[in-house]
Amino acid sequence: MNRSLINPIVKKDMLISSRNAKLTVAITLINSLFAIIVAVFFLSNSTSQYQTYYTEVLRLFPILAICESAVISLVMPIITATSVSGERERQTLEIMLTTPVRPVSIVAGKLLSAMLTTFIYVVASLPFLAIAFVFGGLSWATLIKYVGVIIFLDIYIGSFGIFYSCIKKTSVSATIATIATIAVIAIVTLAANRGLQSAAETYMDNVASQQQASGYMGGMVTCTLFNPVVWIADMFMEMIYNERVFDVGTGYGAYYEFVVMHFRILSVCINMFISAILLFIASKKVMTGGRKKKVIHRRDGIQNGV
Amino acid sequence: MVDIENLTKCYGRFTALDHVNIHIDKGEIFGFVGPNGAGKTTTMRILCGLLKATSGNVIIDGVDALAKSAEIKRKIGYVPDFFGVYDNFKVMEYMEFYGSLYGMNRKTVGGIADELLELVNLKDKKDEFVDSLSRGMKQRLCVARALIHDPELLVLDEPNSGLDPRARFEMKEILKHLGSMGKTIIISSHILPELSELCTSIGIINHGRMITSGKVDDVMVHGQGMPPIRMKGYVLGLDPETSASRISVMVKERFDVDRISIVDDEFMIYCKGNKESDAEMLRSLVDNGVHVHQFVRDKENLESLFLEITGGDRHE
Repeated sequence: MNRSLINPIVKKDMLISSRNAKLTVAITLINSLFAIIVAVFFLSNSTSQYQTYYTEVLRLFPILAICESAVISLVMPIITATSVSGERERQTLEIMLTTPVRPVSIVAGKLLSAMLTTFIYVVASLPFLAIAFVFGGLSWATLIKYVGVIIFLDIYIGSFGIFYSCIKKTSVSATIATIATIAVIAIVTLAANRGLQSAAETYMDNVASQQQASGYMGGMVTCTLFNPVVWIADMFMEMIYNERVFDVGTGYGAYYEFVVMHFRILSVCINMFISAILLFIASKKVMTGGRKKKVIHRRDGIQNGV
Repeated sequence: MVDIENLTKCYGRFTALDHVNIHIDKGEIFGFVGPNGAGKTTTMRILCGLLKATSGNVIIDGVDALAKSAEIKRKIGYVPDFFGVYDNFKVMEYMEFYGSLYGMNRKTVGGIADELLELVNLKDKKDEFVDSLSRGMKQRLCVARALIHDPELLVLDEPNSGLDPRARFEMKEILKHLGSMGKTIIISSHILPELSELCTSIGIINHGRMITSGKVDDVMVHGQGMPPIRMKGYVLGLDPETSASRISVMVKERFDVDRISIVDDEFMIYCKGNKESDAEMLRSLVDNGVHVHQFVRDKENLESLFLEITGGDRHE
């Protein structure tokens, strides 16, 4: 028997989603949103009825890229959180588990098919993103960085979605848990960031307390590493305004300087490590997770055949 | 083919399976009978690697099913008591998908799927969406799906549940055909007359314990008693409850009766006897003022055996 190169679950999911009206509706809605953004952008940046500075148009790409990232951040939890739990609700997971397919292949297949779905959204919105190409100034490096952000978001958010999809009983509870967890991570890390930064500022003017300020700033930048929004924002800020989220050379010590210097790569590594752990647990929970508790009673009865 | 020894499954303090032993030879159709919650599905799920056993041994075709569940999955085709189908999926695509889960490529699956769909009378439906099929067709498709990798053992958990008589007949014919092809089949069902026609051996389970198992004829012969007498009658001038109570007492006092069940207005009298003793009981009832309008001893069948064995839990 020649094994197919493509994960059969990916193949099946893509076939089913391509026949589903939801995909068409989602693409139409996303592209309509982009069309509105582009229209508003051109109207607000026109110096006269017929004139728009091309340098302004170049800023359109990062704006659309941020919007696309935001859309994917909203769509990915829904796609992934309903993936395994959806199979369980449809009662197809149990049949799948009686085949030799490994749980890790189910998890990988579900993640990959969700990623491919989001890439369909990206490809469908390329005409809008390509407006920046028309005016030049968009480098391959920028495009690759953008694709990298999409892949990162897919894996990061998808890992939470699949994790909850494997451990929760229903798709609804898995979706809520995924969105809530990601929101909590974003809010808690940003709140910690603000809190530690203000604590550091109280020591800033006092030379004797400089070490304490460095400690707070080190803590602040560390907790920010766990928030993927920050490194993505840092990248887009650099694209649009040529500015960074954190200043280098501010005298907060070697640790702070090191983290700030390598902020993006460190944040990506930490968050990908978290994703790997979540996907590993998910693959262990595919079989047992979300199962209803055994009802401990017996009912007796017999049906007579016709 | 299948050897289950002392299989036990506990959920906390609840014992779902208690030292279950089953032996099934190759090519046999084994009927797994028991009331709801007796442990049939639990046993089947353990066989298919969906549940871990607490203790015991399961050997399928010489392979330790509990230790090598990945290997055993290639030897088993499982048909659960639900359909489990996808929307927007065609019959052939459904077969191809499950074939690919067994590592088969599209070309290989195509040929086998064609044959299987023909076997289950669905060949003309192969380009239709699974969702559009009737319940009976879906269940037949599930059987075809379970056979895609040519398993040696087919496990069916109440495959006739919810099917109309026609669909049940078709399913029975398919299973008979598979049996004649030499497939070993384990089938659980509540529809006992059909099971007794289909199976070569049976096992009766109750409260997680295997009560009896073996060849159908052996189990029938060595069953724990004779089929009951079904009697309908009343004592004139008494309300139904008092009448039923008086008849029960009367029969118990005069004859060596194990048990009497009353279902609706029918008495099920469990007692050993022959034609003479049955006739004497009838005469005695009539002589004592009981108006009898039905009196017949059941024929020996799987249903009566099942009721006899598990009857202790029924309304008495």
